Amino acid sequence: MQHTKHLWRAGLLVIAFGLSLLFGRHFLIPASFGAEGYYRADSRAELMALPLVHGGTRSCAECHEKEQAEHDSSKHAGVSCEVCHAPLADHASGGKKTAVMPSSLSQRLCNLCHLKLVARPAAFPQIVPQDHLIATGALEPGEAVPDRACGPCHGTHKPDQSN
Amino acid sequence: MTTLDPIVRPASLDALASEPSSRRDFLRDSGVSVCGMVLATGSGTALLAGLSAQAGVPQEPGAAPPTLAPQSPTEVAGIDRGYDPRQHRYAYVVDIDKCIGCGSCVRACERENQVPEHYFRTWVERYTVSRTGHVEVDSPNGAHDGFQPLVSGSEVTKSFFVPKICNHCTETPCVQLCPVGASYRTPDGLILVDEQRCIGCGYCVQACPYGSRFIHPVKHVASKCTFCYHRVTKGLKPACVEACPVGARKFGDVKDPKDEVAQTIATKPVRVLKPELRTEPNCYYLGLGMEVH
Repeated sequence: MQHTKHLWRAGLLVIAFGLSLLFGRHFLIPASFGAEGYYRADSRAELMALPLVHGGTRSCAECHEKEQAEHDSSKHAGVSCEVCHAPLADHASGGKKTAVMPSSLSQRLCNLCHLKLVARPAAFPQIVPQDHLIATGALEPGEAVPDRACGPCHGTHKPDQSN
Repeated sequence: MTTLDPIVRPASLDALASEPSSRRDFLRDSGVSVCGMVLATGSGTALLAGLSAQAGVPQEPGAAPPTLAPQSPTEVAGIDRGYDPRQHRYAYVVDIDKCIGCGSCVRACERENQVPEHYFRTWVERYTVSRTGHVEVDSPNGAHDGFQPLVSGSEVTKSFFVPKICNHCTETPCVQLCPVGASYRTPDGLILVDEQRCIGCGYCVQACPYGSRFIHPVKHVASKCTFCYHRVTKGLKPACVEACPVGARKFGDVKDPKDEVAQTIATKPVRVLKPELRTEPNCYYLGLGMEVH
């Protein structure tokens, strides 16, 4: 066998190439890749560890029992505090107040849910602000709707209660 | 547009081009250097043993999951290590008849997930059907600022709101075509994006039949609804469900037979979006009209 040396050389090269590919893999594939499926399992853990921004209505009751009780007995009982105010993270952290909780008395906030729209379920309470204020005697025809139009008649935490 | 760097040709390639007869020398030299590199890292057996441990070879059923490196985020972030994704299977139900189009869900999602302005992980569409059968769909700023009355030319026969999110499809095209394994399906049935691995190619954005994905304008990676994975794995509801004032959005675990969502899916006439695509969405709709796509 005159040419055995050629075969040995070629074979060694193939083996060396294969080993170098395996070696490259070691650096290119992240540690947790494939532990759960065809993805980096640590990514799932990272997404799980993202900070919470909204605390939910019950978290507000820890400090604001009075408002909570009033709110719970109203038609707005199912509306989370954070919908009209702001996420808990803007206001408190670790049980301590960090900033003033924003609150809006603007009718634009109320309009988000209660402005009359054809697409809204018919049974849902909704108004054309101008017509409603004129009908209740709070506005003269031709007058502009004031920004804080709802507050004077409707309570803030218990809007179904007339002030 | 940045100018691309001129392609740098390796010196060995130039040598090969100028001396076609030196292939044997080139092969010998490269062979020697590759062998040297491999040998320098230790014995081949040790290397192979290390590789099989790293590469995530299929585990035997019942075998303990591989332990993660101590520096991995799971160790430092203080998350619940007891959470087992195989014990859950999440689903979502939207009740069209309840939605009032207030956009509270869109605003809550934006804050909870730091969604950039004018991009949406969830949004609300308004369908308006006129006497002539003409269907108009609008979603001003994704319903982030609610809706205003629509001035329609002809008589409106029906109109309703349709909240939309990622459908977390069981047979999803976005995961199938991701070239780098950045989009994936978790054991608890969610489609998530690994922002570290995503190269921002946007294939998944084009592939999603529901328009649920976008390329994050700052991070330049694919972004989408996660069902608030950081909340639901702690037993909380997604921010949009928490925010919905009328209970039009429900989230639950279909592996729990007592779960409200599991019961709704099992007992009520639910539908999914674009069933003809057979993506098998895990977001179900109650009262979904045939006009909705």
